[in-house]
Formats: sequence, structure tokens, C-alpha cells
Amino acid sequence: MGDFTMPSLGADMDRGTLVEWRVGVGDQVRRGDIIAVVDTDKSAVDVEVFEDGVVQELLIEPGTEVPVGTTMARIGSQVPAGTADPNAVVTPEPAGRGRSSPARPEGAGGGDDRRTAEPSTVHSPLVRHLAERLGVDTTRLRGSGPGHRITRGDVERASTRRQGVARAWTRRPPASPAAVSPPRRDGGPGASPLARRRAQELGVDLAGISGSGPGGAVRAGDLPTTADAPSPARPPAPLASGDADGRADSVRRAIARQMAASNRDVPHYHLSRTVDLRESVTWLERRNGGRSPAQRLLAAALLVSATARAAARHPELNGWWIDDRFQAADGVHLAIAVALRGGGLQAPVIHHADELGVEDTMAVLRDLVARSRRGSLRSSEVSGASLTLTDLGDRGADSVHGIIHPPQVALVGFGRIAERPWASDGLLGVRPTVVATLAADHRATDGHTGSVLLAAIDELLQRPSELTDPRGGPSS
Amino acid sequence: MNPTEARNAIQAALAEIAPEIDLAGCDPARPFAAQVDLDSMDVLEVLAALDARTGVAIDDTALPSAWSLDDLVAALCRR
Repeated sequence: MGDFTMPSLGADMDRGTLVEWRVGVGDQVRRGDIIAVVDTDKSAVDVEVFEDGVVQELLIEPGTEVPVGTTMARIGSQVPAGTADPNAVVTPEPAGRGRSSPARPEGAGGGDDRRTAEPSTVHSPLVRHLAERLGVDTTRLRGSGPGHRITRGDVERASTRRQGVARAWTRRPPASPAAVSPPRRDGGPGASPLARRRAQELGVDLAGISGSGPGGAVRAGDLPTTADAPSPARPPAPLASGDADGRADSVRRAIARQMAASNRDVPHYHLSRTVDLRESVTWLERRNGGRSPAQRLLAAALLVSATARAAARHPELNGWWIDDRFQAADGVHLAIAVALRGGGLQAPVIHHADELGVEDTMAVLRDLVARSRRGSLRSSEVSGASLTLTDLGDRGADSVHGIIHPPQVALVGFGRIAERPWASDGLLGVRPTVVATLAADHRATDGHTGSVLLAAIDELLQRPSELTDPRGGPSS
Repeated sequence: MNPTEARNAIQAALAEIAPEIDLAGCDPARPFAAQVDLDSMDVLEVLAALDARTGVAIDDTALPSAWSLDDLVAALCRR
């Protein structure tokens, strides 16, 4: 069926260390399940599988560092002979899309509770208050207390499941790593960017490889593994988990490499536009009024939504510069630059960010920021970004003139939202404003295109209520 | 709630977001978020954690824009 290979978890990653396997031989896996934890320069990442199947063989020992593209496990369609438990299933975490899974009964009489159809009730004012505070709809809960009473535990679990809705978005089964497989200039089937790079490193001609990706495109897994290339001489790399300084250094070095390469190779142009946020701030205050902290929206959610939707309308700035040409992405995969406490940067990705409404965007942002800081992101969340957004926040500078993360072609920035003088209808007043900036690759676009994107972001922020509706697909 | 309880609740909520922050090292009368490098997302998470622990939902728009630890303690004790 397929092999699980060391994934590329970032444009400049070329090796990774297996920390641990999350599956065993004979386990059934489904697309999106976590198969292993891999350590990169920047952090430990939970790696997902791209295909359904049964784990046949685990080829790499925990603690081993291998180049990207190395086969680490074999996944087949049959249970391998001699496996002790043929029905072993790796249970993925529930999607949490609804409140359909009832809470496990805490009290006696577990089985009976499920059969009855009596509505669960909240008898305790404290529990009701907790539900209001956490934004839990008790009419949809199945109580686990005596007489189907809704308990504090039920409410807390439901709140956790609601956070699961946010995670369900970020945990949608990831697209194949060969999502970008453009046709080659000679008309032959294309290859993923990773496959091209690996082929170059290995000195292999892509024309001689038959591809397993869409349309015969060559994927990294189709290339020879390290069995044919010089194997690393060093012993298994020590895990960085207990070595905070070592980790901070490696994060810094990884960022340094990426930023230096971008500065050297990408001809940047920079644009800025000051955006009147009076409509957005007023809308936010009205929407947040009377809500508990857990239910509030931050302005950042509006900025992210507006940027994603504007990028959907301007595909020339949403994609990658590879092999001397621009390749448009299949959707807006927006990386959000997150400053880590103690220094360092992580940029988790919101896939199809333009399809989320601003409410879900806020939930996803909270989840990604929290897990970025904890170091528990999934592989699909650290790869595949087609555009990056950097928001300096409420104590940041007025504007940010950033450096693009290659091979992306644009970086959208926002400075501090502040009350500033604003001229309107010949009169001078004061309004909340933000300076939106664009750093763009001049090989891919020109200033006019960049200006139009910033204008689109501005327009969207003048009509914040239109950002609330989720969408099924890119706007035409 | 008395100020000591409020301060303990704040320390506990902070520990969920930024475990390395020690309130004892902060000037309680000066703007707080800047002292400990909390951005608006962090502040929201701290207030949500405080709400879950104490039942007090603080509306940060009701706090002075550069609120201090004393301001936050006072807001908690008011309820």
C-alpha cells in the first residue's frame, strides 16, 4: 500500500529524529491518525499518516535521526501474519463535531442510563452558571448524574469537546504531502517539491522514477531511500526534551537559516496600508458585550479571517515559488506566526483558513497558540503553508516589514491597533487603526498586485459582520 | 474574596498559561501585562482560567487599559 517516510515538517527541514512510535505492528491506522512523534530543530511534532492501512513493519528505532524521505514504516492492507491481536485498532480522538457522544456515566447503573430518552436536566444553579460561563448548551447534554442530572463533570467535558470542534478543523485528514505536483515543462508528470529536492540531493533523475502521486507525479516516497545514499555516521541524536538551552539554540539556528536564505534569495518588495478599524472594533465590542472571557473574540481573529478571504480572491499571492515559477496553492493555508515565551517563533498552519467564519477562527487560533507554546502540534499543522500572517499584537510596533518564509511568496503583517488621527470628509478625528503590511516576492508579483491584496483586506475589515459566516469553498 | 485569595487565584491561573511567571517579582502598581510579556491572547486565557477557578468573569474593557495587578485584584474582590 504505502510506506510511511520521514516527513518534511517545514520548508528547510532535511532531517528529523524519531522520538517514539504511537502505533505497533498490526495496528490499524486511518488517515489523520498519529503514527509517531518526531523531533525537528524547532519542536516535537505529532506526525499523522496519510492513508488507511495496517502497520506491517516499523523500520526505525526511537532516538534515530534520519533524512527526510527515509522509509520509517511499512503500511499495508492486510494484518501481518503472526500478529497477536488482529483487531487492534488505533482509535483516533473523536472529531468532537457535535455533542453526540454521551458522557460516561459516573454513577451506578451505567447501561440503563443510555437506553432512556428522558431529557437531562440541570438542577444545580452552580452547574447552570458553569455552563453559561463555559458556553455549553445544556439542552444537548446527556447527564451522568442520578436521574440524568447534568453534573459539573458533564459540563466540563462538553466544554472540552467544544474545544475539540476547533481541533477537528485542524485535524481534518491532511491532504497528501504531494499536494503540489505541477506538470513539468516537458509535459511529463510532475513531482512534489520535496521529491525534487530529495532527487537533487541524491543525484537521481526524476524522469527515471515512476510516481505514485496524482497523475503519476513523483512523491518523495518513490525515490530511493537512504539505503542507497551514504548513511549518517553519527549515533542516534540525543533527545532535546530535557535540554531547554539546546532546544532554544536549535530553534534560533533554524530560524536564522531560513531568514538568511530568504533575505539572500528572495527579492522582497514592501507595501503598507493604514486601515480604519472603527467598524471592526465597534462590531467586536458589541459582539463581546456581556460574554465571559472564554467566549470573547479578539481583533486578531478578524484580521486572520480578512487576510484569508482576501488571499482566496488573489491567488497570485497564495502559493509557492519553486523551480523558477509560481505555483498556486489549492487553498488558503495560512500560517500564523506565534512568538514563543522565552524567544523563538513557530508558525502553525490553519488549512483552508478562508472557509472558517470568524468565530471558528478564534477557536482554532486559541487552540493552535496554546499547543504551539506547549510544543504539541501535529505534522499537518507545521507544513503546507501557502501564506504567512504575522500580527505583532497590542504592544507591538506600529508596523512590521517582515521577511517571507520561503518558498511562500508573501507575508502579511499587522502592527499595533491604536487610536490614531484620521481624516474623513475634510475633518480630522480619531479612530482605531492598524497598519497592514505586505512583504512579497518580486519574482512572483508586482506592486500593483500586492496593493490590491491590501485593499481587499481593508474592504473586508470595513464589513466585519460578513466575516462571521463559514463558507464551503473559495469565493469566486 | 479577599486580596490574598485573589492573588493566589491569579498566580494559579497564570501558571496555566505561563508557568515561569512569579508574581512576587512584579510591581503590583504598574501595568502588568507588559511586565510579564503577556499579549492579548494570553490575557484572554488568564481571564478565562480565572473565571473557571473563581466564577468571576472579568470584562477587561472595564479594566483600565494598562491595568496593574492591583487593578485585577480589586476587580476580583469587588464581586
